[in-house]
Amino acid sequence: MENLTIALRSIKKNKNRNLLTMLGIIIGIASVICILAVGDGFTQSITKELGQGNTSNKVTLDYQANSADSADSSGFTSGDAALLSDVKGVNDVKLSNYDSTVFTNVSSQGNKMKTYIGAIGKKSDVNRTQRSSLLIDDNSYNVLISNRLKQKLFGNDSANGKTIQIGTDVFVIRGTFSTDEYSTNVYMPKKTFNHIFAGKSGKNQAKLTVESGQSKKAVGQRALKKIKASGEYKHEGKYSIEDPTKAMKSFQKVLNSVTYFVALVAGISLLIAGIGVMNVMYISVSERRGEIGIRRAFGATGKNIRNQFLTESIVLCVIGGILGIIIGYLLVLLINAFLPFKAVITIYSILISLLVSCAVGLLFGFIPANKAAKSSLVGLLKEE
Amino acid sequence: MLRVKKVSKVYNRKFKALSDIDLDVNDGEFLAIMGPSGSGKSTLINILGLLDNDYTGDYYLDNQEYKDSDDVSMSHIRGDKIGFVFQNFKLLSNYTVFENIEIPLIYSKTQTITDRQTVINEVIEQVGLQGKENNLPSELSGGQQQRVAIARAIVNNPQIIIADEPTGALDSKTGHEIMDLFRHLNETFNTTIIMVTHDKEVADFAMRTVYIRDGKLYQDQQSVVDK
Ligand SMILES: Nc1ncnc2c1ncn2[C@@H]1O[C@H](COP(=O)(O)OP(=O)(O)OP(=O)(O)O)[C@@H](O)[C@H]1O
Ligand SMILES: [Mg+2]
Repeated sequence: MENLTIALRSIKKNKNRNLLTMLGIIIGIASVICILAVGDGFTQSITKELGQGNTSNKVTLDYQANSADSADSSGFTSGDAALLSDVKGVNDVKLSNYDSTVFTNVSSQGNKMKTYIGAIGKKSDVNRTQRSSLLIDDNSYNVLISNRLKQKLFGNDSANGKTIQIGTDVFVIRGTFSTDEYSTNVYMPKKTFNHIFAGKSGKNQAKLTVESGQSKKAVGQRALKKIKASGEYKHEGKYSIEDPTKAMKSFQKVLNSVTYFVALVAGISLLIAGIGVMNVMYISVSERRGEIGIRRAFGATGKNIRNQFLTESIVLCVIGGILGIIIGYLLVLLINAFLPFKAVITIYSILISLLVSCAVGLLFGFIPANKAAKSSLVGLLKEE
Repeated sequence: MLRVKKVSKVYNRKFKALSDIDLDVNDGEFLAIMGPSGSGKSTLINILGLLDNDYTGDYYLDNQEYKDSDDVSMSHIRGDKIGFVFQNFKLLSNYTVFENIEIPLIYSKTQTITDRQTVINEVIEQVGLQGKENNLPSELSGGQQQRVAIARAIVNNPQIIIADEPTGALDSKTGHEIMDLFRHLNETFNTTIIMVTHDKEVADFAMRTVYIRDGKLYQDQQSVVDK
């Protein structure tokens, strides 16, 4: 307690010098906060996603046609499904469309455009509010069209409530969406889509439910081997196992290299900071040799003196650490504007930062503090 | 209370600053040590004050020898039994009068905060510095600063005060006031005082004076002059 007041006093007395010393710690700790926040945010977003997907006991096989022409006609057949369900460890097999798109003509009032038509399912990339306006599991003949298509068919007029013709069927436009994708310009409810285009698009996904107690990986490999050997369209396309964490993994790779870089920055600045702290503590010790002598003469043990200077060094670093945490927090707010997920600062990362600050203070303060403790008393008292 | 037997001190393995010092100081005695500059006075009282344990010979304080003690017990004995007063006061310049006097209490376990306050106020009154508690040393005169130093030396109720030229930086009138204070402490609390001085008049306040010359101790001035 006494040490703390002495430390704060001494630090306050040399504010500018100490602030400069703290700069390294501030940068280092701010970097640590950012790394941890991005890492934690990423893990949180992944666990959330995985939780939603409930992919725990599912393995998905993909079929990729060799040419675009055969894409609509080839894929998994019911024969393939039966084949796959015989694979050891497979509970049941569901075939589905990954893309849920067909390529066809859309027209209205004499204007025409050939485009992909999409079905609104869970995986749709049209955002939620627009989706909800179009009842997903309805059989209705409602569609959403892209702004690009709207422009082409109706110019600057509003498209809402107007009709378009797809094949022989007429649909009511319920809204528009903007998209960066050039391919899919129309979305309709999945049931309607399936009803109209049944058979027109091949099933390019087979979802296997794995029996409990079986290894997903092993079952997947067995199924893949079997379908590669005897799939009906094995010559028209390729089969593969879908990896639900693939996208995450590639992002994680990027994240990891960024993390290593920032960790390097943090490490270097903490090292520099540590050396700075050591230097400033050496100065503090030699400036205060007289004070040390006085304290020693009036009963302070070498250990008292060492603890006093260690406290000073730790307090210096922790103040720097706290400033670093604040700046790290501001940086995380900034980073979040550019990240696809939300970086979060956890209590845990704040504790880590404070711990690191303490450690730097302890480590680099130790030698100067020890020097202060070991100095000969008579020499100290000769000091003016 | 203090017993010095054949104590010698060698600096840098060659310079003999003290040779075969024999000295007994009784409980409650007020002793002055005189001698020319460089004769070894500070060297001797550093040993007496347990600031230096690098010597040969024997030194007993309360029948205890501390030559080979560890730092912790030496420090505690210093804090408990000895109070130091220096020529140039040695106050902490950015600490108030009150805080300077508090320093020895920080390192002795017993007191609570309120105890501390009472004790400090008591010694401030004894040295006559009421009302200056919150002043910095730079705001006080030399004599007042030395009073702060004395208050700091006695705040722990030491058995011995060791003073190295306590009046050296003061004019003779202020010096005599400080000596009056020493004599008062010596008489009222029976505190043993060992004081180094150059000044014959200052030494006259003591009960007994010993003389050092070239590292040797003499009981009377005549023998010093004779050499
Ligand atoms: N740390 C040291 N290393 C080497 N020699 C020293 C050291 N300290 C003191 N001396 C020498 O020991 C001798 C005695 O020194 P000391 O300080 O005891 O003298 P003093 O009697 O107190 O003198 P003064 O009246 O000037 O204070 C001196 O010659 C001095 O040069
Ligand atoms: Mg001297």
